[in-house]
Amino acid sequence: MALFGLEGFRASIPEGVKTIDGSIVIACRREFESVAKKNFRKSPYRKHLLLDPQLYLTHLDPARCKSRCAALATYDWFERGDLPEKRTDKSRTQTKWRDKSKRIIHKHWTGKLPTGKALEAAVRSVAQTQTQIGCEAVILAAPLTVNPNSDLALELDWLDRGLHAARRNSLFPSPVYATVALSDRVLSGINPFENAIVDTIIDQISAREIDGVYIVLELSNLSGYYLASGDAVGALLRLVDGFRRAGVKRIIVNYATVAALLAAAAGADTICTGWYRSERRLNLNELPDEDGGIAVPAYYSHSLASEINVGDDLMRVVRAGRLHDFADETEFSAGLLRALRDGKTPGNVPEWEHRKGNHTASRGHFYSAIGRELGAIVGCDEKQRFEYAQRWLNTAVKLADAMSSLSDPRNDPLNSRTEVTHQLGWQKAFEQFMKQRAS
Amino acid sequence: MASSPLPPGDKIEAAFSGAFSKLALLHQQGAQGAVFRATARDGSEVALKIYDANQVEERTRREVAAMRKLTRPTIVRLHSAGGVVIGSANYRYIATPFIVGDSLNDRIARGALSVDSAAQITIDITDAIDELWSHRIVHRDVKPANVIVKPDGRAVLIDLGVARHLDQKTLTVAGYTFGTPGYFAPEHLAGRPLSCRADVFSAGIVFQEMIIGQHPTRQRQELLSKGGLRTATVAPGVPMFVSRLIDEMVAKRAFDRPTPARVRDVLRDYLKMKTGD
Repeated sequence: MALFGLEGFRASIPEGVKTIDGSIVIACRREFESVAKKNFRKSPYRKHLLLDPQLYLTHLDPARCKSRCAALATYDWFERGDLPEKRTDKSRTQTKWRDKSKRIIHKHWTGKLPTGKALEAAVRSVAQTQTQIGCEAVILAAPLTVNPNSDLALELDWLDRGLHAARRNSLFPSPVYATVALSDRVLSGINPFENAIVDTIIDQISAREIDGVYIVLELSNLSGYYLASGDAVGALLRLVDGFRRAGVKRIIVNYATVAALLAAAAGADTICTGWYRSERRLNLNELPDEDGGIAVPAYYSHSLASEINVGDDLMRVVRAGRLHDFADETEFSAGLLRALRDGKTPGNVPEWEHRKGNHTASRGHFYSAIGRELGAIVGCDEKQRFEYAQRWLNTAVKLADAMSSLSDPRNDPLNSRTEVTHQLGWQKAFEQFMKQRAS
Repeated sequence: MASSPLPPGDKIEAAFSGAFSKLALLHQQGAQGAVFRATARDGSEVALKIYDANQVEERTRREVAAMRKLTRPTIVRLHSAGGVVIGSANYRYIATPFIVGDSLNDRIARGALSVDSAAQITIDITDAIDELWSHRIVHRDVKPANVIVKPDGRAVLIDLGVARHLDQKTLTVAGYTFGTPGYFAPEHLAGRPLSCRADVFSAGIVFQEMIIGQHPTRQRQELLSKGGLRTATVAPGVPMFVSRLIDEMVAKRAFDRPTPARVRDVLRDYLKMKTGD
């Protein structure tokens, strides 16, 4: 089991984090030119490197998502009209070129999937690019599945052509993984364990005897940091378990928030996440250019399965004498916990002081805690992993209740960063998963 | 559109102008056409299937497209195909090499097969399903009537009339599912996109039928909605190893079934182990 960070975010992985095993390049966050640089792989986090080709973002609106579309347009599998492929004038800096590209991208970006010969060229490029930059596997491109009644013809066409290209073109054969990119429109309101399209996807992909799958859920109804939909969590568990039962060798889950740990308990091998909200889940409505403001620190409590706002909610816990229940100690949070136990506040601990941009310790703590938890289930058998998840969720539900009771929803509500509603949905989804699994 | 009945054999033979001769009716396929044993101009013996073009042109086109790609001896290959005018009506025809042997249907009617014989036939059926799937074709009508058992005990899967290429739109008639009740995988009946595992399900039912000597549910499809019946129940005495494999083949969920290549390989190993190879 492995924890991967996401490439292309402003300040993704702080120094000192030891729990990141690899990195996944998010195409809309990093231009091809910067990924192709020879020194790109020097960082220890990139020893294991993957690239998400993100074909599922083809329909982004270039007028609203200039930066994302401009970055995607640097990869050959997107239709970019006559937009210059790369900096032709070498005297121009990459920043200037990027700015120009952002200004003109809306005139070039078609928002359409390549077809015919362009499709063939696209699938070849997907495979060649990943081989060229040294990815440990080729993740095939897939469009986003948005129709619950789809026959998946388009997705399977991309998959079959991609498989053919990847297996034919590679001099040094890499494992080949299929992308499963599902919109919440195909998951919401449908019993995840009776969702025909989910079962069909598992069947169709695993019948192709592919080496692995890369699962992405697009959750445009989600505004918080944590996956709120029990249906989506259930579908994720179903997908992971189904692929595992069908003999798929590696299952990678991205953009599933901390619920990815449940996916790991169900059998996923690699989970990808970051600290920022946009690293945790994919919401197409939030890809427009500038990310939502400058982040402030937040304290991840694994027992709660949520972060706690450092500005005020963490002190509610301290004042109620419940710190020991919510405490989560890593090398990044040890100082904070010490200070709180000594009667001080987060404001007394510079790296946890509640101010904009002061989140290095928060990020380090989050990665360390998630890595620690993933490590706790490495080597466990299925029964032990399921028990781990159940124990975790039972505690999280109790603590979410406790946290809610420390506030007054009308007059003194919890900060929105302290999320206490998803835990019950996760618990129900996991219980349903276990029940289905046993039947 | 109403179909016109096929004229007598001599008129059909005349219409082919020597391309096929010595036609002998093997079986009538409803109002849609018939299958003849015939001699082709090159002297080879063929099974000549003639369809009313108005009724099944699309199916014929698909069958031909599917067969052109196939090379393994476990699945019927194409001899020739085309159109012919008989009387005043247009027909399509498909000629395949005539396979000398018994229909598996007839073979089962004479009594249950030994587990080893059934395993060998299943190896060949799943090998054929595997080859079809390598071209992304699903047969959709795997049943004993579509399997010919040659005198050496090896089997050939025939009749790709309802096979479907994944890159083609679904061939459906409102309210009708192509295939044969009693052999449909649950997802087939539900009208979902199919993979090779739908054919593996049917092959599992055929496996049970061979070792029992009759269809496990007397072709009552409704009894298969939760997957096939447990082999240990319908055929006690079958070695546990084989019994479990068949149960996996007829699992309710497609993704819980093995791929055809796996079934073939597991059964090959089983037979090798038994014979001490």
